[in-house]
Amino acid sequence: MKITGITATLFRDSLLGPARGCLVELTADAGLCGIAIASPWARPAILALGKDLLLGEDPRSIAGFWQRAGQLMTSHGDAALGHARAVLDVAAWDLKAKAQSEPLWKALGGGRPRANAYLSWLDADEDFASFLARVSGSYGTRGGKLSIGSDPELNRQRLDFLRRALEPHTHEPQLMIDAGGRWRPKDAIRQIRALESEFDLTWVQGVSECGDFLGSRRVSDSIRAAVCAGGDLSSLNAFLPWFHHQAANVIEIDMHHFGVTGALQLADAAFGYELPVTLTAAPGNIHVHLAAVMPSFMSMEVTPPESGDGPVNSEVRFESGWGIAGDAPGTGMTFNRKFPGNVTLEPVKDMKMT
Amino acid sequence: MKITGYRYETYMMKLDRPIADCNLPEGVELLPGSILTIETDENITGLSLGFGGGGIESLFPLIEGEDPREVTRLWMKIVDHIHKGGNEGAANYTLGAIDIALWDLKAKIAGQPLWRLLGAAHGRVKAYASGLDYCLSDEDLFTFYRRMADVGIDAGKLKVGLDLKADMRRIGIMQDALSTASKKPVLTIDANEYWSPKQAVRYVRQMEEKFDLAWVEEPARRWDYRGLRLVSQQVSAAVATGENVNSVADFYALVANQAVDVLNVAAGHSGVTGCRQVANLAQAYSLPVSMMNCQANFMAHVAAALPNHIGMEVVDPGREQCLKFDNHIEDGYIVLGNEPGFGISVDEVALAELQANPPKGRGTFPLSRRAGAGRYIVPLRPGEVPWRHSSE
Repeated sequence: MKITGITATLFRDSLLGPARGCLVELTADAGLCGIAIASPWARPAILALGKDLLLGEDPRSIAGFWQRAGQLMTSHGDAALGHARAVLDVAAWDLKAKAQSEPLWKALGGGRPRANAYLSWLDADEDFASFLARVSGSYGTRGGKLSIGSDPELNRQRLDFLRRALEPHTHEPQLMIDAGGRWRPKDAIRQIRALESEFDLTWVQGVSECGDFLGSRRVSDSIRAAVCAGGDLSSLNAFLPWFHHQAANVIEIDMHHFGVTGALQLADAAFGYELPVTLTAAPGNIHVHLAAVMPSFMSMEVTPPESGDGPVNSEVRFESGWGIAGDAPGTGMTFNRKFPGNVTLEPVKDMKMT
Repeated sequence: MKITGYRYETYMMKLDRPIADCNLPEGVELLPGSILTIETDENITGLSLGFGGGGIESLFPLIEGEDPREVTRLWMKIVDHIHKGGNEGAANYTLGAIDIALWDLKAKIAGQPLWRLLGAAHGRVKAYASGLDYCLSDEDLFTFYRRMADVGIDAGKLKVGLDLKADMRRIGIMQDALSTASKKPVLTIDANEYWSPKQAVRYVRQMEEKFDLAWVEEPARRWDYRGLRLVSQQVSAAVATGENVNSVADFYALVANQAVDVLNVAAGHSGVTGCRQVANLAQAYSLPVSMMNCQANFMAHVAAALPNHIGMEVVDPGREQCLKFDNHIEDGYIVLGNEPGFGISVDEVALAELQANPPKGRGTFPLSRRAGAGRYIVPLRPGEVPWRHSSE
């Protein structure tokens, strides 16, 4: 049996008043149809998730669907709604600052940010050699982060390459690794301790499975490096067990989940717990503005590729390893609709959610 | 006997050498000083040494006409009066200054040195050398600690925090300089709250691969009991902290949460009375205390009578230009004399000269917090210190 169609139809229920619902129908080749009722605002997510994970699948394999959807939620944050809130918040701050003719850093009450920046390498996106070229290049950063794999010797070699690539900029490089949540706590402790016999690691992230704050705490207690966590958490409340159980030593905040407003709230909470804050890369490197007002700001991850290489242009520049914002009102980020690359803008019909 | 009046003098002094920690590596040469004298109807006065603050006029009415021998009651009376704001800021400074002067007075009335009045068996206190030395060249660093070793001091505390390799070299210099006093000098380090807890762990563990450190001081912020405990659990050295907190109340969370292994006690903990309370709290938890440095080492009188005192900080940067004092260092101990009270008096001529012609010099106390503190290390700039660092 295979799922052959997914529909999500908004409806008004005259008996229950003006509220609308959404009828979800899964049709299968056997002539069967499964239905459920959803909240209307979830319609786009239902269609997207259904098309990605259910179409063409056997509807009897429900456990597999639940697992894959869970993985998707982990890697993309809790839900589309949270991301939507964050993005709208950023756009609204951009607008507010533009209305005041101020760059965002000034609208937030900060001085011009000069933010400690680092470059990171994500296994899939870039070959290692070009990452190293970026590291020793014009950014001038004193820190770098590697997504490490399952081969300890390869991890060691790559860290050594990274350390050498940073040498032109600093004698005390900030070396960071992301273990991607693949380890159990004791694996993490063994692997990290082995690396620490050779490298001074500033932090390690992804040391436990997503959500395993007790495992993270255990790792933190057993290694020298700080444990960094939070990049995959998407609400202020979700951080509470991490704060309470001392499960992280550095708090990573992703504007993708927190926008501006939420990021500042979270940074204040981290400051209250004496925890340094690091910011996940954001399009146009506009997260540099937040560094101006976060009291325990530690570092910002730099978004590749640099400004000018894509349709997103940004005023943010990098000088001797510091991210510096410009004076243009708002975030200083613009979108080039006529970018002569392989980017095409697809017009999408406006969708009203009422 | 009654308290009748007071005299409050302020002045500026220039040190024999600059002092610094990693927050302000270039250091300062100037230090503000203040002297509070409490007067009685029997022509006997009590003296207290400090470095600023003021506000005596607002608290003096609380002790005017009172018997100065009832110092503990008067301490409580002032504490109850400032209840809402607490033992904080200028009020706490003035409380401490009054309390110190009243203890001086009480001992003078009894005709005893304060160490004896407080019940000490001997007027002797073990000393450790502390250069406040981030601004000293390697040569001057050696000279300072060798001078200390020459009077028998076998323990030293190095300011560290910005440059691991250079700090390792310099702790070796300190060790060498002290080696004439002991085959195994006691080595301690002080980061003055520049690091985050995990930065401290990384830094100290690397130092511990080569040096046996007795304690690391202020490896995290003074109130961060969980961070300090984390450091204590992850390094071999003891965690020492407390010199910048205000009273026994501020030590409560630190002690109750095992965040501190050595308590740095000081006159700043609400005077002699408050300082003794802190030491007693520590004693109840089987924790040692170490007295912070001060002008003319006057707090050695208090340290001498503490059951859990392990060593008092001696800096000796030249802060006694207008003071006469009755103690010296010998065989590694501060040896207190038999003059009544703290055994300290004011050289009025020298004081008047300092007030009439305030000395000029580089920088003033206190040392502000350095950028990057608690988050990342801002490396030393060329010329910021007179010694070789890694970025050179």
